[in-house]
This record gives sequence, structure tokens and C-alpha cells, in this order.
Amino acid sequence: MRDHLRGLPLGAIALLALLSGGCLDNTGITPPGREFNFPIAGRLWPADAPTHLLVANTNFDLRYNGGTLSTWSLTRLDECLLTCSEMGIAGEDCYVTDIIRPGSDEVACPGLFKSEVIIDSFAADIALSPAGDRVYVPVRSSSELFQVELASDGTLSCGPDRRCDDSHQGVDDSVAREQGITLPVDPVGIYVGSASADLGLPEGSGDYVLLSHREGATSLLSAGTPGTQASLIDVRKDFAPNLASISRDPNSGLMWIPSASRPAIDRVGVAADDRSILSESFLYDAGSLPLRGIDTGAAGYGDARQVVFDPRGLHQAYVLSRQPRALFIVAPDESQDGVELRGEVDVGSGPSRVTVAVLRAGTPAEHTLAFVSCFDSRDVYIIDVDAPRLVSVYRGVSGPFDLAVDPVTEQLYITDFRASVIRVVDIAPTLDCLAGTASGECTPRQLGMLGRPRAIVELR
Amino acid sequence: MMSLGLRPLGRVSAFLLLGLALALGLAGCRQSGTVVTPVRFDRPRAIAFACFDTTTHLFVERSRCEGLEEVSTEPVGLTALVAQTARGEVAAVDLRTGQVLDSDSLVPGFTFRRVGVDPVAIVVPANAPATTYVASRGSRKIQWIPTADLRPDAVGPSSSTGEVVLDRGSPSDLALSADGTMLFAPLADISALAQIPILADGSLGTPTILDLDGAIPAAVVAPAADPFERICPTSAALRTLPAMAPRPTDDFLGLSPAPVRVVVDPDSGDLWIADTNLPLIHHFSVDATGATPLTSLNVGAPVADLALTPVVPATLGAMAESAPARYLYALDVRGGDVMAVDLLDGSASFGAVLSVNSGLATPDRIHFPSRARTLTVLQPQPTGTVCVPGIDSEEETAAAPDLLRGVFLAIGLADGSARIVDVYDLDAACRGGNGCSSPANVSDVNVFIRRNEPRIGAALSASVGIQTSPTFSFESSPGVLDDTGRDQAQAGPGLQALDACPDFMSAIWPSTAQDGAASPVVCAATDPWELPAERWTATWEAALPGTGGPGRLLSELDGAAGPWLSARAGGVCARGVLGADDTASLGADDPQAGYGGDEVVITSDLPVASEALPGCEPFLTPTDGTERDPVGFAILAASDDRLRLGDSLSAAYSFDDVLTCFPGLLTYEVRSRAAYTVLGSSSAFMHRVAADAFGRCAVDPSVVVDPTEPRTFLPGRAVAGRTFDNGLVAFTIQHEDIPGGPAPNARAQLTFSLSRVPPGLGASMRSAEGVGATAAIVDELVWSPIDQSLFGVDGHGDRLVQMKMDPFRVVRSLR
Repeated sequence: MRDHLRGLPLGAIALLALLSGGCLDNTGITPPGREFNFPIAGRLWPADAPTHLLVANTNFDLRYNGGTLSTWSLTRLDECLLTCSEMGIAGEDCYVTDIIRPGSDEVACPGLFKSEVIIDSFAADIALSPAGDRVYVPVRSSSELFQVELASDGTLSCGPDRRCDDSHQGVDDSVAREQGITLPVDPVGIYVGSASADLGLPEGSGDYVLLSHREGATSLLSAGTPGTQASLIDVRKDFAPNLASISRDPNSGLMWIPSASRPAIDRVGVAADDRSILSESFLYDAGSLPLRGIDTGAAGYGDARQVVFDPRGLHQAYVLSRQPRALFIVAPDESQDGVELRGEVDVGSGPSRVTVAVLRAGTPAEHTLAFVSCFDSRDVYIIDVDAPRLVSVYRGVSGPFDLAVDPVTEQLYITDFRASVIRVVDIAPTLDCLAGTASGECTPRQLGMLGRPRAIVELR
Repeated sequence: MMSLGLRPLGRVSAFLLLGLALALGLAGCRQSGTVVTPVRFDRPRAIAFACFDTTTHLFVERSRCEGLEEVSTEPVGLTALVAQTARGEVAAVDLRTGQVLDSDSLVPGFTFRRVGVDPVAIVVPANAPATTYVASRGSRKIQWIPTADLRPDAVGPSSSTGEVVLDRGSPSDLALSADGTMLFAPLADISALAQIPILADGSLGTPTILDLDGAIPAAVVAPAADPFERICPTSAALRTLPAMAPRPTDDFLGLSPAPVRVVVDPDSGDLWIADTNLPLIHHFSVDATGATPLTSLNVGAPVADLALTPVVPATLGAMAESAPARYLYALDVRGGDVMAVDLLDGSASFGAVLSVNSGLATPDRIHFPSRARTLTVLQPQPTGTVCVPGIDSEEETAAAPDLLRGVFLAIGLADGSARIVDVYDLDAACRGGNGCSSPANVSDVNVFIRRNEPRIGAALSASVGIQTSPTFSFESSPGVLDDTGRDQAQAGPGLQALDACPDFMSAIWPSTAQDGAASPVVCAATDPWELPAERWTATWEAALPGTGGPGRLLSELDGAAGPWLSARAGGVCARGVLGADDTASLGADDPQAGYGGDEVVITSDLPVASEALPGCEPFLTPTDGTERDPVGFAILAASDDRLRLGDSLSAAYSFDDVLTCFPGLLTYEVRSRAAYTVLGSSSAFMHRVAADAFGRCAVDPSVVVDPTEPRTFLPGRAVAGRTFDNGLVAFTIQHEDIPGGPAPNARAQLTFSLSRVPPGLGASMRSAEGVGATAAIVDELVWSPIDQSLFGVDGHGDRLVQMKMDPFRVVRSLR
């Protein structure tokens, strides 16, 4: 026995070295293509006549070594959903995928998937350039900003390989550092705009990017040309902590930044005019707007998640609040530098995202509706913002997060984070009821799902 | 030993097996089992009441429950039926026990009766409770169900179940005709009213759809009138209610009606219908054949909810001693406040929106700091007698601000509170004592009761005052003032005693002035409904709120010689900015007359590229923590997007010097110049400046200064030697001890906080206070005359809150 033990230490060391070398060198599993893995954002593109759906996947369970950004054909999706209908498959059971799996109950839909690139895990959101030729994705884990080129046919590219290269991610802060400015961590919201259209800078000034950071900061970047990183210009701190998103007020040009911990909305402006250049612009604190006349459960506390401005150009905004759980219709009161509360509609638990769309525009049946995803109560609230009142509730969604509405097809695309699918919902029944022309139920109905739901045991 | 055909366990194996069993068992004990939370309310909304006899297990006429104490020992008691909009159900609550009832005990968890999608209204006929009617907006149907189905312990009589599905239109409300033979449901999406007959067996017949007329009739003008009021002391001077011109309705031409709420007049049986799209309240008469449209009321704004009062005395006193009056209260959808409409049959101003307040707020609106969402009329103790003062009656002894007897309006707000508005207080004459002397409650000295004003919720033994004393800090001195307003150290600014308070104001400091023993130094509005409990500051040359933004210095702008500062963000006039030229044409009576204009100060740091330029050193930000001397200019003329500049704030630099050092974009703010910026912690900066047709900032020329009308002055800035009066507070700053006033950029600030501001009577429907409290949004308020309770539905917190009136308070919260 003693002889056996004598050789043990050397062998053990060798074995350990072998094992640890292999563990340290484990690059993880590359995300397989054509699948969803905890999607966080979905965008219809192009905005005026959508042909594709953009989806950012977070890889929330870290199953793979990165998240993905993918594009999907809406034309093929609609065709395959119709196939489900023709086959008598109910919307709740219609799973449309690009992958042919013999024996499965999925509807194989070749041509559905268009393109995909690999980004870092924990993407926060998606923003498109004004020209629609570039996609920006802030990533919380690495605090990177990914810039992915988007061709007219929906093809994504960010380098020679499927995984984005260094020129398509990160921020060039070499100039900013000289002034002691560095990019804050944990970007949670993004806005991309045209420097000339939004800021009055001369034509050809390119695009600018604004990021909101959870810790209470906003950063201004110049978008740069294809194949180059965005350049950091300025950072403004000392905003409320737990910032949630960032939105531009088209009337004042100021950015509204709600906080998940304060009953007020901070605002930041970009100082620029037709005589300046983007790289010399800077951010300024435009003052906060207190939310008065509501009950947040405790003095000094508030939890607002998102602000969306009226798409019709009315000087009105929609504030999604978690405490209380409601959608507030507000208008800036310029004389008092506050907001005038014009209406409030309470919603379900865990309100997360809101999108507002004008439907059946130009007809007597035109309605402007807000769609609110309530992650905890697993439903989507549909609100008539002019009434203002709750119109309908679409239930039975596993984990609704982001929302996109196609006013032409009258379809709602729900990014289901928990089930890792995109649900396609027909909202025409609701619109018909509002128009007084409906003869059946008024609640929306699901047409099918892009992807197959993956059951999650517990998600806290 | 019995053999089971198994090999006997060895000692070690047995021990291991036992140990394993123990380990598994302990692990199982430590694991917490899955906790099943019983389903309760889920977005409650509409509510109706039915009387239930626990001995016969039958629903009986509602009058059987009248006057009961609502305790579990009573054989009959009210059951509340509450619509749950989230799941399309109706929940039953036994109000005797406060228990939410499970309609099916065989199903685990709470089960409520399923109805349609998004149930919005419930009707249980008071005298025929066997059948309950439910309107569901999402399903577009009206159902009838046996009321017994809603309680697990209830039995027949036999009643059918069924539904009427509307081909078009979704109901948003449901009302029962006075004779109980018809239901009415407003259909907003098709601009119509559904009339549904109730058949002999309680089922529903075929609906008739009545289209609503969208024509807007001429509005009725309401004359100014003395309100029902009780004010003590009698010397308290309040402004009279101004006459109101009807609001223009041109914006609504061509729109279609959107009826959302139906109220049945208990006296006439008429229908009054709220319209959220047109400024109309539709009016129908009802007879055995159905509803017939009458002329609508033009109320100037779309309305979401309605409530009717009974006939009440027009002035203080009993019905027999006074002319009658009657009111319809309507919730203005857009403004989020409430209007009062004359509803007295035969009145010359029938249908007119009345003037309800005389202060700074809009005269024709009952206004609260939060949006109104629902309203209802309360009639606690409707058969009570009017309190007669001086006879030491039980009513006189008990009369109190929070004891409600008479007719009141309850308004549910977005901030989760229910507030009370006075309509007719049976105890009003006794409050404050006979002749406003020797009140039964010694604290009830200052009494303010006025119809259509928020009810004051506390006995006021003293009038409004100031917390401790005002201070006037100056540089490093705290600035304690003596009773004459002078700085005790006689080294800084102070206040000057006034000969008298402005009209409709009372002295609030010093306290000796409140007794008339000294001249007032600080005055505040006597009107308790106009005065927020806030902190006021007057700060020397302080920034006007919201004037910070980016700009650029220019020698020339659009061909006009400067110097200029282009205000990139715009909106300058809305912030109250004025240049010296902008006040030149004001009349001598105008509080802004003679004001030398504001100043603009650069707030951004010197650009890096300019740091090395000669002559820019004065504009560097000090590194020792001190502040840079202000770099800025007087404003000659202000426009919405530009400021024409005058002299620089210091002789040490010129405009060209500053332009050289700040050649690009900068940030700036606008400050008062040689004046004090006056701010209220809730009133903010009050001014009358707006952009004219050319974008120039001007004191609103359409408003003529009227010393009796606070909305016409609103100075915003206080200048030494001139009385500052914004209708809420008044004072005069003096520089007796610092001739010439504080130096530019000196620190000087007057501060005082109001105290003893009368609080309104209300109740929060929030679940609790402090950390963990669930916010509330009031969705419905319903008055239950049977048990003299006000019920509030909090759809956000999933609660049904019961309030009593004697005194007004929340008694329980059910969910």
C-alpha cells in the first residue's frame, strides 16, 4: 500500500494540471443559430413599412458564450402563420421555426431566418440609426456598445465572422480621456438620432448616440462611420440612480430619463447648434420634472420605467410607472417646469415596456393605443390614450417584455423573455370593437409564435 | 421472526439505511412547501349591494338591511358584489363579517362567479334582488344571473341565467330605471344608448339602440350668487365668487358623442349621461315606453362621471327657510377636476356651470392637487334635523369638522385619497358657536364652510401663522428678525411693517398683529381654500427656475446688431424672463412696472482652448472651492429664443472679452436683477409673462391689473420698498440697514413657512404607511345609504375600503 501511495502525489499533480488547463481554456459554447435565448428586444424594420423583425437575445442563462442579434422575414412569418391557420392549428400551438425537425409539431418555415451575429451577453436594448442601416445594441455585462451594419435585404454584418469584431464594438474614448471623461458602466437605455435633424448641426454631421446608465449617468457619443467605433464626447453624472431608459421629447429636444427610485423624471440636453460640430457638443442638466398628485406608496419614492412621446406630435407623453402600477398621460407644464397629469390607467404587475401606435390612421376608426407589457402578471394591457381607459387585456403570455406594433397588418409582436419566443398577436378584433364593427370577442388573439417556447422552472 | 424472503440487513447497512432515512426526512422538513396564496380581488371596479338574510339564506329587499349595525350577530346584512375586471368575475363580500366569500368551496382557493370579459357594472334591483345584472365591456354583453349564485350559502328563488349580446357597441356602465323595468347601458364606440327591457321573470328582452345627438346647444350663463356658507369670524373677508362666462366649445364641432356613464335621477327618473368626447351631458326622460331625449346640457368640457344632489337649501338654514337649490357635479375629463351645474327645475340658470371658487384656481372648477377620477354624493343622516345654535342640543355639542350630517360630495383622486366637498351641512349654523361666539368645541373658533369648496377637516382654534419666525439670512448672518421685521443685528435686509394687509388677506406675523395689537409684517390670503401649506423664499438675484440651458454669444443675429445670447432651448418667456425694455410700457399699477430687467449669467466652465488665452483668466473657475465671480450681462429685451444683452455685470470685462473667451456654445441661467426671486415650495415661480405674436416676452397685456383679483398681478419678483403681493402672501422687503441693497452676488434670502393651514377632510385608501405600503388609485366611490357607508374601490391595490361618516374615517379594508 505504501508503494501505491508513493506515486500518488505526482500523478495527482499531473492530473490536476491537465484538468485545470482544460477548464481555463474553455471558451464556452457558441450560440447555435436561428434560435432565441431570452430575447430582450424586438424591432420592426424598416419603421415605415416593416419587412423584417430584429431580435436581440441576452443569453440570460449564460448557456452560451454570447448573445445574438438576428433578423427574421416578416413576409415568410405571415405566410407560415397562415399555414397554421389553414392546417387548423390554434395560435397557441403554432410554433414557426426556420429549422426542419422531422417529427416535431413545429411549422417549418424555410426562408424565415435571415441573418445573425454574435454579441456579448445581456444586451439591454436595440436602437436603429435614422437611416435604418445600422443597429446599436448596448450591452450591460461588458458595458460595450455594439454597432452592426444592416443591409437593405436584412443581412447583418459586424466583421468577417459571425461574431462581431473589435471595430464593431466598444467605444473610442481616447479624446475624452484627455479631459478626464470615461464611459460609465451598465448602459440600460439608448437613443440614436441625426445630429443635423435633432441638434441643428450642419448636414453631414452624422448620427449621435445617447446612453443612460443605471448608476445615474448619461453619455453622449458620436456614432462614427461603418467599421469604426463610436467616440465618446461627454458624460453627465449626478442624475437619480436606477435610471431605466432614455427618450427624446420631439418638442423640446430634451431627453427624458425616468428613474426606478425617484418620483421625478430627469432631463438632459445636448448643447449644439448650426455653428458647432458634434465633437464639441456637451450635455447639460435640463432639470427634473417631479411627478405630483400620485401615490407611490412612500414619500420621496417613485418607480418610473419608460417614457414614450405621442407619435402624432401632440405635446404629450406616456410615463410607465411601476409604483403605482399605471400608465400616466402627462404634458410638460412649461411655466412651472413640472408635468401636468392628464390621465392615469392602472395596469398589471411588473409593468416593463410601453409602445404607442396610431392605428387605422386617417379613417373614422383611428385610435391611438398604448400597449403595456406586464411581466409579473403575464399580460399586455391595451389602453386608449385619448379616452383614457383600458380597452383590452391580452393574457397568457409567459414573460412579456418588449413590444412592437405593425399598424399595417394590425399585429402585435411580443418579445416573450421567459419562454424565448416572439408571439404574434392579431389586434384587429380589438380595433373592430373600438370601431363598433365587431361581431365577436374584443380581445386580441394569438396567431402563432416565432420559435418554440422553452419552459422555465423558476425565474426570479 | 417473520421472514419476508429478504436477506437480513447487516448492522452497518441498517445503520446507513437509518441514517439515510433520517437525512432525507430532515431535508424534507427543512424544505418549505409551496405556499398557495388564495386568490382574492384582482382589479376590482364596479360594486353593488344586496341584502342577505342568513336565517332564510335568501336575498331580500334592500330596505331590510337599513339601520343595522353590520355585525356578525345580525341575521341580515349587506353583501357587496364587486366586479373583478382582471379575470371577468364577480366577487361577493359579506359586509357583516368583512369576509370575501368563496363561491365554490369544491374548487381549491377562492373562486368567484365567472361573467364576461372586463365587467364594468353590476345592478341588483333594490326590491327584486333575485336577479343580478352584469355589463361586460370586453364581451359586449349584459348578463342576468341568479343573485343566489354569488353566495355559497344562498338559495333561490329560482331565477334564470342568460345574456344579451350587443351586435355593436361595448357597454361602459349599467343603470336601472326608477321603476325597475328597464336597464340602460351607454355605448361609447357607437355613440348610442342601449335600452333593455326587464321581463317579468327577470330576464332581459331585446335591446333598443338609441343614437345620441351630438349637437351642442348654447351654454347657459350663470350669474354670480352668494353661496351657502358659514364663516367665522364674521370679519374674515373672502372674495365673492366671480361671474363665469361659458367656455368655448368650437374645438368639439364635428365630433361624435362617447357616452360612458348613466345616472338615474331618483326624483324624476330622468337619465343624465356623461360624455367623454363632447362637452355635453345628455338628458333623457323615461316613461313606460322607454327613454326620450331632451335637450342636453352644454357644460363646456367632456365629462367622465356624474353625481346628483337632492334639493338642498340655497343658503344657510333649513329647507323651509331658504330657497331651494339642486346640483349636478361632473368630472372634467381633461382638467381632472369637478364642476358644479345648476340642476334646479325652473331655475333661470338651469344647466349653467357655476362659479365655485374665488381664488387663484379656475373659478368654475373644484380643484385638488391630484386628478379626480370618480365622484359620488353622500347623504349621511338624511332625516336629521338642522342644528340650531344656542340651545345646547345634542347636535350642537357634537358638531365637528369630521362629523358629516347632510349632503356632501366625495371625490376619489389619483393620489389614492377620497376627499369631501361641502354641499349642505346640517351642523353648519352651530359651528363656531352662536353668533360665532363660544363654540361648544372650544377649538372650533375659525370656521370656513362654503358650498362647493373642499371641506376643512380640523377645528381651527387659531388662524394661519408662520412656523417660528421668518428669517432673512444675509451672507453669514442667520438673519433673525424682530417683531417689526427689522434684522436684529441691523446689518442686513429685513421686512417693513405694512399699514394694513392687502384686501382679502390677514396678518400672519407677528402674532401680535393677528390680534390687531401691532402692524402686520407678513400677510397671507384669508381664503383657506387657496393657501397651500408651503415654504416661501425670496432670494436676492436668484435664478428663475428652469432658465438654465445652452446658448451662444453673438455680436449679430439674423441681421440685427447685438450683443445677443441665442437661447438654443427656447421657451424663455414661459419661464418668466423679462428685459428692461419689456417692462417699460407697463402702467404704474403693474407690480412689474419699473423693473430693470433680469440678467443672464454664464454657468459653464471656460473652454479648455481658452484657458491659455490672455484676458480669460478672470473667467477661470477657482480651484480653491470658491465660486467664480458672475460672468454675465443685463438683459435689455427677452424673446423666446434669444436675449438682447446690455451692460456686463462687471466693469472688469466687456462683451467682446467674454465672446473671445467663450466663442462657442455655453450654458447660462437667468437671474433676477436687483430684486428677489420669490418661490413657493408648491406654488413655484408665479408670473404673467408670455411670448407675444413676435416671440417677445411680455407681461400678459390682455390682463388688466385689478387689485382685488390676484390672477391679474403675480409679480414673481420682490423689489425693496415695494409691497410684494401675489394673492397668497404679501410682504415688503426693506434695505434700511444696507443702503443701496446687497451687493451683486451677495447671499440674502427671506424664508418663512406657513403653519396651521387648514387641512382638507379626506382619507387615504393606501394599505398602510411607510415602507411596504401599496399605493392606491381610487377607481370608484359608491355611497351606500343603507348602512351609511362610503365604499371606495382601489383597483390598483385590489381593495374595497369602507368609510363611515361619524366621524369620517376608514373603518376597514377588504381584499
